[in-house]
Amino acid sequence: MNIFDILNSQFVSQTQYDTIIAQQKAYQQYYSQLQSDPNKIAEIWPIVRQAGILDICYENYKYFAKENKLSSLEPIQKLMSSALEEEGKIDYLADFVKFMGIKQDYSLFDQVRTVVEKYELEYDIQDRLKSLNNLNFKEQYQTITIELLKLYAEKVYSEEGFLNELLEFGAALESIEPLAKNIIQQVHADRTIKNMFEAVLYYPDTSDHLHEFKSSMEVTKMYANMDSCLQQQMKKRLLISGVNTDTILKFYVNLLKVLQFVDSDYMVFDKVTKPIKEYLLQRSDFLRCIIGILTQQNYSTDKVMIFEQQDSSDEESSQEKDLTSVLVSLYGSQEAFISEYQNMVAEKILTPKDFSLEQEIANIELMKIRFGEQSMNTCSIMMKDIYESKRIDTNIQSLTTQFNMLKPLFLSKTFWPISYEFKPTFKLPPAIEQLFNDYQKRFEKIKTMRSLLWHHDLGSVTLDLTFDNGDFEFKCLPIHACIIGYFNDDDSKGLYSDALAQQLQMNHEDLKRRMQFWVQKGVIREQKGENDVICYTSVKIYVPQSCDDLLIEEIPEDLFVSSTNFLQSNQLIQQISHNLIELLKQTGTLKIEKIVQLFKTTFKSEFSTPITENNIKEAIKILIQKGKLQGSEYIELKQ
Amino acid sequence: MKVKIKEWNAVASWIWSLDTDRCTICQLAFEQPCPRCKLPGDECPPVTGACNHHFHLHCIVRWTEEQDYCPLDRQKWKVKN
Repeated sequence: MNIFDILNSQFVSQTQYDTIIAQQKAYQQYYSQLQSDPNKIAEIWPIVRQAGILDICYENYKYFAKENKLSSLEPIQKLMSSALEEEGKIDYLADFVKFMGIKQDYSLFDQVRTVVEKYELEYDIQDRLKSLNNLNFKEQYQTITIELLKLYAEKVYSEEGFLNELLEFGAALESIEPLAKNIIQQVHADRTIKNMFEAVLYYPDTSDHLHEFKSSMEVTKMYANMDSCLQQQMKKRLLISGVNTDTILKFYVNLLKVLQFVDSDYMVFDKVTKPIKEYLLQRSDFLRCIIGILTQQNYSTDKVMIFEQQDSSDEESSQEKDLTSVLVSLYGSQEAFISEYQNMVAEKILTPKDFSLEQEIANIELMKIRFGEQSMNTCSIMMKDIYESKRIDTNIQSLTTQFNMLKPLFLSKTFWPISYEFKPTFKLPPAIEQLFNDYQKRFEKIKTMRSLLWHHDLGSVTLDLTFDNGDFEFKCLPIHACIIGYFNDDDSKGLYSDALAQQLQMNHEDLKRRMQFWVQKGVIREQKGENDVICYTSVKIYVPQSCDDLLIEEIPEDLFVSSTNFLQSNQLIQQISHNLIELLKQTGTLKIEKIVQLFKTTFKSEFSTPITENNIKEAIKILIQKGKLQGSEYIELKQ
Repeated sequence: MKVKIKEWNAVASWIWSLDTDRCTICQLAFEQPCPRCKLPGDECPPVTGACNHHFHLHCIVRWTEEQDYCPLDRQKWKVKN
């Protein structure tokens, strides 16, 4: 409200009255300054601005300036700097040109330009951007462009005589306009790049924003920024040990789709996707996740554009491939993929892991369609074995009930990726052994000319253990079942490790290791007596432990062998392991750094690919897990 | 404590109960199919001659189309009853 508004109204409150008085005072100050020294009028601007009558004073001053032909533009400059702190005072710039015309001094034009550049860009556009944060890029740009255009139009249609200057001013404005545009775009692109990680993560929910991303990138060409920002985010939030392999793989797939759209010229495709690929290969459940994705119908037929080196040439080009081949080639070769898949299926079936037969059969059918019947031949035979086993078993069991808890699987040799040379590591309890012998005899009767080789290191047993507080069910390997079987009807009297080991024909170390399964589950208690004698006792009251999964280390690693193994890293690790053991046999204990050094120098020639420190450390880790090596800083053979 | 077995998922590989483990004609184990077959087992079984030598059925059938004697001892080939 200013004084004129107030004078026009009929009711004045105390506050309004106070305002009127303040404004009156300020105006008086202005007027007297104008009379005494108009060049110093700039000092008055803040005062009148505070009072709220800046508009009025300025109008008055313009009139005065025109009439009296200004000697200095300083007051106007100062006015603009104070006025432009408020929004919308951009109109003063128009007047500035008029004053320039009044002065008839064309050299002042540079001053104009400086002022416009300085204030327009620093103050106005940035400030407006801040306030217009909620509008999207297009709207923001439109708003500011409109303002600038308005200004320009005003110049063109203002008073004659000033037309030339105004046109030049307009031209100056035009040259600033792309600059302004550039700034807006950069600010906007910066923001969109920061959001890109989320956009990929939550794709396709975020697909609406992709158009914006795309145009932003096309204009600003800030691909390098996008690349570095994405990589930074990925390193921090995605490629770390807390994240599921599944999530990473889904992110990768989304990334392919997003980049296909946003980076259609493949400026940074390679660089962005490379770290994910490398990281995924280190994950041990990578294959299972790929299969998980491929068996979801809505994914497997998707097509993506992929940019990579073509086999025959050194050039890189883009190609449309379907998702399956992309993921398979991510893993390595098709043979490696199928071979690893076979291992996975075999492991699921032969060990106490839960799996659904229908699901596995469905998966195999899908794989057959994708890779051809020939490649999946082994898997088909595995499935056929399962059916056959059921058929034969039903036949045998129909004649007697003595085997009714036995569910055997008869494998066709060489088609299952297990080691057939494996020697049994324990002896079955007599009653169980008799059972298997009887079963075998019946098998031989039904299948003339054939016999069976039992693999008691594989398979699974479901047991019911009855404690004082009830029955509990457990699933475990046959060896665990045999061990615990000796505690049947034991009245919680202990069993000595010696005696047990003898019954089972195992050595103490192995028995202790296997017994850990029951100890960790809280079923058996281990007690050390005098002379290091170990005694195992079953608990009376069972308390279920939180971790109920079978430790995968329980399954001996020698048991599963890959029939074909093309994964270079695996071969490399195996080769390193072999050399390392030979080395340690000769030298005894070695420090890890020394080992790395030796491999990089002495053994370098034995390897076709360069070895990294990581390869060596991984080989050491695996050998320690297998129980072949021990140590942390200093490594030696385990005795 | 009482222990009761509810289910035992046992694993065994089936083998042919012969005294040799591979067919000398194709050099493959009898548990594997002959080179012209895909599946092992009843569809590609071993067969024993009167001389007690064993071969894949398909292998020896092909062999006897050319020559009428056992590849290992050159006796006239006849299947054992």
